[in-house]
Amino acid sequence: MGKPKNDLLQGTLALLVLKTLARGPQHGYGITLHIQMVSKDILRVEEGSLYPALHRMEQDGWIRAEWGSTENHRRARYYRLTAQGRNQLREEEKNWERLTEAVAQVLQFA
Amino acid sequence: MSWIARLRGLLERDRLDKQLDEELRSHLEMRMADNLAAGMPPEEARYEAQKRFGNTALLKEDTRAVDILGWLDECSRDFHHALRVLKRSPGFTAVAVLTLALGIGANTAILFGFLPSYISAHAGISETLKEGGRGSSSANRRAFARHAFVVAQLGLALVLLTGSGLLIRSFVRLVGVDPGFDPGHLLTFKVALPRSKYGTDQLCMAFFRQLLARINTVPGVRFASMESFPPLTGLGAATGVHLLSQPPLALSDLPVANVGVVGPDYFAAMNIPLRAGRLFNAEELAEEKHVTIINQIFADKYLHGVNPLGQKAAIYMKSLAENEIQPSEIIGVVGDVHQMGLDTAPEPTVYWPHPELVMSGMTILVRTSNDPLAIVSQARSELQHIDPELPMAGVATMDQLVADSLSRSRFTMLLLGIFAVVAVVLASVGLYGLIAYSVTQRTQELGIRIALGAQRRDVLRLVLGQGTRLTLLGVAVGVLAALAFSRLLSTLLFGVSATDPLTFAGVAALLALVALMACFIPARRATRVDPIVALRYE
Repeated sequence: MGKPKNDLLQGTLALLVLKTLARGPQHGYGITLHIQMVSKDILRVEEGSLYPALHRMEQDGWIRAEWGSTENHRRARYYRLTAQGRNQLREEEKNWERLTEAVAQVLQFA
Repeated sequence: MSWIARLRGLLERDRLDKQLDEELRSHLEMRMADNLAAGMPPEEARYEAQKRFGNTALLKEDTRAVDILGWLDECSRDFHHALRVLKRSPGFTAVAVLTLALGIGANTAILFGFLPSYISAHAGISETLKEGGRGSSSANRRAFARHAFVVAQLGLALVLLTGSGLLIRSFVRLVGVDPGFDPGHLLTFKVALPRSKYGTDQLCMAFFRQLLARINTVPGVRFASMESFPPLTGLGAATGVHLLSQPPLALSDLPVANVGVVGPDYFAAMNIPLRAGRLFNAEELAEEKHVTIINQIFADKYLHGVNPLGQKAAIYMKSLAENEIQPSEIIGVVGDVHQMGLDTAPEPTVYWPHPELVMSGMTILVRTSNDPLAIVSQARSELQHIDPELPMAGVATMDQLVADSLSRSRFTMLLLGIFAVVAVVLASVGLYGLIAYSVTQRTQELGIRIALGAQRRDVLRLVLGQGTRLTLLGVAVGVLAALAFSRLLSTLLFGVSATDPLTFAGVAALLALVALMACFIPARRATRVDPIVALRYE
């Protein structure tokens, strides 16, 4: 593919969301809760950027959405990873590793 | 892949909107339920959930912007509009569809009629044997049908050409309309203050005063001002106005005026000329002094030559009971601005300084010396310096807003133009096919004529004559049909009559020219017929 993107913020949110969805289908609220919980409250996903991101990923074909109901019988829109999304996740994970390695190197030698 | 999704997004916008609403609501409710479960009191639980969401309208706007990206969004608006237009003008739609259908049909007929005979003509004498010469009645009937087809095609092409010609002329007129202000070098964006945080008029006023003052310090900014409803963006607010010098009327009979709420230097920033009296002074821009500025058309329409300055007007904006309204004194008259769009005449308008009617959502207008988009980031940082939580929404230059306001006319014009071009191409191909076929059929005759001494010029005239007759017939039919149909377009026209003679003459000439060019190619071939070869066909 083309050259790696350096859209860090956008990419990071996508990575977090994709990774969360790799565990199974989840709705928007569930995604924020999961990321917040797993990161021990360090990472907070803003609703204001989550939904635009989710819809963008849906359009790019990485995730698919369908209406379902929660354990409490509440209607919610569940997002599910597609095959394309899985590939994207791998790609993004690789990018992230490259990035953190690079940052670590700079920190070491700077 | 994403193209399909986006295209679907265009077509299902309303459904997507509703779906997004529902999705966000379900999110809010789940957060609230969790907050309640965590022991928050209900009020706080709701508030906290909503606070995390921030500006829901903005979030929706952002998400929708993703659903329907950039120029695609504009296209969709245009496309929807075009579809609506076509629905509203069934006559034109019928013509367009008919042309395409007929065009394809006729060309197929010509092609299938033409090809086999072309092939058999070149194969030798079989044609003569099968058809029994040119005189057979079935061949004549078919020839007549082909001619009728081509004439109909030409006529329909002319109808569509006329329609698009009229739209092009209207568009040119529209672009030439003076909006009443100077749209160049003008940046606009919206700031909406949440009432939860800016609960009082004082807070709102102070915020905007500070924002404008800060933006004014940005290099390259000439004036920073604001207005409640920017021009060319459709309906603003309008209400009844009672001029105290005139007898009182029932509320529903009062003259109606748009109400524009403006900030300091508004008229300077927009370059709206002052016609009489004076503009708002610093005091009036800082607190409620019950003054108003009207536009020229207000004075002309409602004051009939009486001097407006000093008159008092009760503007029914904050209340519908006259005794609760503090009348505003008219202190100035300014030039007219197109509020609804360039194609709608300016309406009577009263302008109030911000303190007269404190609105929490305003459009900021920044007049710059150079590229207005160059100061966006500085304006944003000034905004966020005052309140980091406030987003800068709907950033656009006024030039873009003007272009947007024209997008519908532009697209209707484009759509009909495309139809017209396709129709003309089909008609020319049809005509070409017909003439080419007839030249092939008449090879023998042409050969004899040439053998008998006919000049190239004579042959050319002979063949072109046939094409010209068909073309003129088609154009005549088309002009009549267009006269009947173009009335249907009159709601879309601006500053040009549905029977505009110039357009009619222009498109008729254009079509005739193209059609004759299509005839010219086979006609030239006819002149090259070698009499020896042609006669050998016998």
